[in-house]
Amino acid sequence: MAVAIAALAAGAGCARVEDHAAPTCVPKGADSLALMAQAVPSATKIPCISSYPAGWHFQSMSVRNGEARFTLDSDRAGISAVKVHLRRNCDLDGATEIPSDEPDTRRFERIISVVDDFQAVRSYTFDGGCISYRFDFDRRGRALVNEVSVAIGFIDRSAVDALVRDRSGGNLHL
Amino acid sequence: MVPPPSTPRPSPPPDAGRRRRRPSGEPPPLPRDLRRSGRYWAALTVGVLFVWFLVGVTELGQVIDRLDHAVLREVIEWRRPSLDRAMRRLQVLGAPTTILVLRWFGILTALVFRRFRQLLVFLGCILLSTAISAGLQQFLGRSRPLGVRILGDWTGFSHPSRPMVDIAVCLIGLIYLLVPRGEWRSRAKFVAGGYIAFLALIRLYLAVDHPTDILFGVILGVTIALMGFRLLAPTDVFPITYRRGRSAHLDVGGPRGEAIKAALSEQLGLPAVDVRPFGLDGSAGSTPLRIALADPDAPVLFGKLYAATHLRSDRWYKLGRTLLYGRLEDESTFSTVRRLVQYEDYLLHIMGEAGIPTARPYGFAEITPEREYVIVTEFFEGAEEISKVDVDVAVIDDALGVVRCLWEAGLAHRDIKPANVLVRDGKVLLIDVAFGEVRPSPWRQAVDLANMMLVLALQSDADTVYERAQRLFTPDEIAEAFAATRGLTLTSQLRSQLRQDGRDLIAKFRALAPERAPIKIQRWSLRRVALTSAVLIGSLLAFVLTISLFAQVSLL
Repeated sequence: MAVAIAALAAGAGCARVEDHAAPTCVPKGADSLALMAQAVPSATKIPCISSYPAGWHFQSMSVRNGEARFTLDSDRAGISAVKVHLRRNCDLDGATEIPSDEPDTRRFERIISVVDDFQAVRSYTFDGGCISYRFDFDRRGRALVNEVSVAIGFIDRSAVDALVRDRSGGNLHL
Repeated sequence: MVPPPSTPRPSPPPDAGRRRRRPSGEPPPLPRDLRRSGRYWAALTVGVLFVWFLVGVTELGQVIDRLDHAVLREVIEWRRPSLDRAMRRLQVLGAPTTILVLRWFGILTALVFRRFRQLLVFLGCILLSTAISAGLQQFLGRSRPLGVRILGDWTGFSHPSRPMVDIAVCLIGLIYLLVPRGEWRSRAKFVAGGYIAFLALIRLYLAVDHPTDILFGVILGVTIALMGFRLLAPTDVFPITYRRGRSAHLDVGGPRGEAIKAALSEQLGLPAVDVRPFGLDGSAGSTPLRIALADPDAPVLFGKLYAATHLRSDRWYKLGRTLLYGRLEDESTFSTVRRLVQYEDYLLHIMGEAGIPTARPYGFAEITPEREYVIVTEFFEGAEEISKVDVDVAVIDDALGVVRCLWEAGLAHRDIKPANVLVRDGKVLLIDVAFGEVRPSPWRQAVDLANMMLVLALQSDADTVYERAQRLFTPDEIAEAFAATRGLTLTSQLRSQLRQDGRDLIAKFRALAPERAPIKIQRWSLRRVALTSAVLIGSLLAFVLTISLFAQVSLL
């Protein structure tokens, strides 16, 4: 019985099942995108994974009412190198606004540490919500920040709603 | 100089009943049974699996979505502001904190009542249900109800409903951990059903789950817990009871009692009319039984019911002794209950043939294959424990003759203590041969002699026992016996009676016998070192694994 329990424990964190739930921007990730949209009903934009630059992969996703989060690992920047949060509001204390690279959003940057590891928070605010990236890079992965901009994109709520309607034959909507 | 057997062999009881061979396909006397409700829930789970399969390969998912949506819309019609507030508060019935409290209540209660088997099953159910429901949620990826306003708190995908799975596992687990079978368990199930139904209603009202999320979650949770307990800790074998007594003793009433009677009749031709526990205080490794046969003139029989739980106790006991005493414990464990019973039956036959005055065996019967067996022997009606009778020279001679007989036959009893030496009509009877050994080490045989002499000296004096022993054993053999004897070789009962007696009988016997250096017992060996290391490392790993598992299933 102890062996069975140990086997169960090993199976409980099965990575392949997690991969299935990755919130990709293509229709494959529609279920996860819809769930994230439900977590923050006011948010007009939803974060999603546009592509996986070399060495990056999806780690986990956690969604509850009021907040959605997913995490990416990097073989150079480290485990849970980037945590992406979607919330109604973000804590922007100490952050500096810089020109945004995403339409209809404002971008804020806050550097926490550059001494050994690189730690920073990037936040995008928009109507009804806020998306923040929490960087926690190993020293050797510091140069990979730009890859995150490639890996993560935003999808409009209306696009997610269209996906839901399409999948349900027009019966359901966000 | 081998004395003849001191007790004439009793005649077997009349073989009143005809033996019957169980044909292929017929269930054993006490089959493993899921019972009707277990089969019902298992069938529901198969149905759930079939629906999931259809959802994967057909458009059934859309139909289910439409149905769920229709039901939710009906429920949402009941929403009122005051009811909304009440329902939000009542959502705590399925909150993570509530589940955590229920889980720990079950774990701590199981520990308090030493229901370790049930505890392991409970933890296994929690782990399995968590792994399955979390995996399914990620794999199926169903969003929360769409097109309706969700009022309650939620986490993750919706199908199957995790809180419903967890609550179902907790409640069913608690019932099987705490409530004895019978009317109280039926009532508890009714209450648990009400709780689950009420929570389901709350979650529907708040629109945090679809109806099918709840339904499938309940089916999954109840089935996992029910199957776990009924297959791995069946109440027949591991009864929930609040009576005082050793946990090793099984309930021999109800279905098990009937199964024992049927097995004795069909397999041994012994039509029993009454089977009841007997002398439970003196037995920890089995459930002793007094068996009355249908024929009023037939002698009463003695039985010992062995189950998987006794086998495990035997393994732990032997492992503990090996760790404590090293090579002193040179016995190995049994792989199955059948082997354990076969060995005792074999020893009874061997000892009987060697003329040792022990109980005549009548064979053993299978109650549940590989799980429960009952071994039947003659019942020593009127015999009394040696510590309760007057011990004269004749009894001393008889008892020492029994040890000589064991030596000549190449046997060791290995558990000679007052409780296992009976006297009837001035003749010594030896019982409980389960620990015996064929071709034992000379050291084992020497310990048997020393223990028997100590038992006899407790009821008389060392000088008389030593003097009578010289009739059957040489002074060197007696010296060897006491050179091999020390605190560890004595059973706890013998040690305790020696302490109460106050006389240093071991020193007295050593003084009477020729001088001999103590026989070294290699208390540390490579095997013992390896076993001790393995147990320590295993315990550490188990601790780390437990902490990790507890964290995974939100028990911490």
